[in-house]
Amino acid sequence: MRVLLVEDERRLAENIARSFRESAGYAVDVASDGAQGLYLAESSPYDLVVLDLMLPKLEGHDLLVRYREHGHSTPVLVLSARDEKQSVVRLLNSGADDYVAKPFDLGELLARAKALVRRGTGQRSPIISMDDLQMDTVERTVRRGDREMALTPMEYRVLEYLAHRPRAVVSKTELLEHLYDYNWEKFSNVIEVYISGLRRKIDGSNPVKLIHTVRGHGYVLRPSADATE
Amino acid sequence: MDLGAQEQPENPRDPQSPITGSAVEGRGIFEHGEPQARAKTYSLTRRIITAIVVVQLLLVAGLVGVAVNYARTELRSTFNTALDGDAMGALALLRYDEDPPHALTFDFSLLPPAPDPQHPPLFEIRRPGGQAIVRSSGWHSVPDAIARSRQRYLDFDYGGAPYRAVIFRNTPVLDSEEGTPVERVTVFYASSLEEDQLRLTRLSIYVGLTGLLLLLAANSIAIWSIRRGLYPLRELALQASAISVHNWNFRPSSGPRLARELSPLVQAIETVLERLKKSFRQQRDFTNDAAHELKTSVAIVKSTLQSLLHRPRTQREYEIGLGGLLEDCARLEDLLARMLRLARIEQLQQDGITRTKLGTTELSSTCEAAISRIASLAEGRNIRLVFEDSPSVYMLADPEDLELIWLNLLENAVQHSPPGSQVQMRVQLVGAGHARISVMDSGPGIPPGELPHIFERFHRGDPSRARTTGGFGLGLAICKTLVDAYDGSIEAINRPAEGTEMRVDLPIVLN
Repeated sequence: MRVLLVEDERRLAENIARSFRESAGYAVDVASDGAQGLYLAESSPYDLVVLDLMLPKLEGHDLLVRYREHGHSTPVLVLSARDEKQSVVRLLNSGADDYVAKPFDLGELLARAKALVRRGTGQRSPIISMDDLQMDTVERTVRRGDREMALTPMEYRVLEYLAHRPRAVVSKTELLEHLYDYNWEKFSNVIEVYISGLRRKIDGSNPVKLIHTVRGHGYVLRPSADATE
Repeated sequence: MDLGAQEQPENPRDPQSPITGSAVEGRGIFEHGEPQARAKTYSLTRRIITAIVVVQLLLVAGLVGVAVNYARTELRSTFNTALDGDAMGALALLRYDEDPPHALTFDFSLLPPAPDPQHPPLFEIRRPGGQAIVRSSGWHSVPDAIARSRQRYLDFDYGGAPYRAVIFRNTPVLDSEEGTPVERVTVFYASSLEEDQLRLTRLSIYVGLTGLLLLLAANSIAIWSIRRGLYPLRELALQASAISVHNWNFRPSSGPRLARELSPLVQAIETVLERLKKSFRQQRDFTNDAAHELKTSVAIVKSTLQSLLHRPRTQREYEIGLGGLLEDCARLEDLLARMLRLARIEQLQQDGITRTKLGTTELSSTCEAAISRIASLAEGRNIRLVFEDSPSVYMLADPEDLELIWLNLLENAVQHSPPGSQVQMRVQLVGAGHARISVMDSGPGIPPGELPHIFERFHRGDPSRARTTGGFGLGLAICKTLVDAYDGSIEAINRPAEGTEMRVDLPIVLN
């Protein structure tokens, strides 16, 4: 998952970004003003935009309105110190999906962010199941049957992204774009490494294979007997 | 006279009124200490109506008095003429006997019947010596003092009725054939005034009643038109009472606006309201901005702590984290210090600087002090500070206040100048009794759209510049407040292709 954080307060941006990376395993891009934020939000695919309101160059609210006007449906979580009712109502009516008032709790911000990402992909439950695979996105644990998997952080992120889009073919580029921040091109050949690691750990000797490679297109998570097609 | 009070409720903010809640809250900004509800209230309408009714009553009473008095005079004069005639008539009935012994006889048969048999006329004709020739019936009861009075007309009471008498003295009795006076007599003739009095009373009642009726009609019209005339005033009062912090609408209809007596009040209220509204909004914006800054600062500290505690860290990570925390606290401290400083200066400005307590301060030395304090920041950004040789100028000021102004201006200039450039400061004399202190940077200048706002609190020209240097948009606001407190002026001037000049004009002490 890749998140855009539009926050001009350097220290706050650092803390939120670190927390997203460490606790949720999200890739985070930080924009320090509204104009840069809008540019990034429109030029890269994000799973969530976290937006501060008082921003230089382009106010958070204006950014939100323009972003929605241009037809983007990525969930937007707003941060602001203004918590009067009318301000909240105005934000939600302008296309924001959720709202956290400063000074907020990082845990709450994280939970709301995860919930928005989930809903953005049509998932309701924080536990994603497929066949006997169970993925807990809160605890960040993965089990197959009774067995708990020990995944590396990157393997977990690849699996999480695929699990949020079950039965959909996800290209390598899409995976790269959503798992890394704007430096993703550097990592273009590592996806195969993670996929093979995941395949070894999750499918292994299990007769029902979950991770499949669609040649020339990408990868898909679905229960089937064949590993490739 | 309750008419005036009916539509003037004692308390216009009764619970039925739709303006209650907001009006009561809104009272806060307009209150003048203790509520004055204890003092006795009065109705303007009632007062005016009372005054008019009293005046009209006096007018009617006066008119009735004059009319009755005039009628009385006229009636008396007519009565006197009739009385004279009657007296002469009585004299004419006196016959002179041609034959000796030339007696005078009175022919009672020719006497006309009395108009009022209850109160018949009284008369006596007597010789100058006092010997009566003829007397009417009932004469015996007329007191001697009245009969012998030396007046021409006199009033007296007889048998319970008022009488008026006329006395003709030395009136000749004429020989009926030759017309020559034969003897001189005194005629005393009195008639009852009863009838006359009655007519006067009737007239008084008639005039009085007519007056009262007219008074009633006139008063009704007056009350109606006063209440109607005062309607704009009531409307104005109602409009004004509806004003509150939630409702700044004050749009009286054309009634109060077109009334020449009320239009200055309407304008005054509008002006005051506009100013209040503006300062209220500014205050609210300031509070919001201050809250935003404080909450953001707290959010930073909190998020640093939470992310540090989120999982076990290495010694090195904790050290870095705590270092960051110290940085966050410094930010919060700086913000608080600036806000408190601004609040203190504003208080100072409101109370007015006590000039007598201020010593004379040399301007250039305060500039130099500020420059030396900013030197390390400028060095860090590789910016050269240049202070041009300046004349010695003195002003009444606290040197610390002046230093604070220069410090903020210099800090601002240093932050907005590209590394390697220079910031210039100079003091000049302008006009009579003013010094101009300029701080010039080599920055990109201020966008024209922002020029009017740069001295507002929490305003950040391009906030990204301010943020990276830790600014809160309070520095220039502090400068402006201080300069205002010293009766000076401050402005920002863009010098194309050169940078920005911050120009402060302050009054100085002339040698």
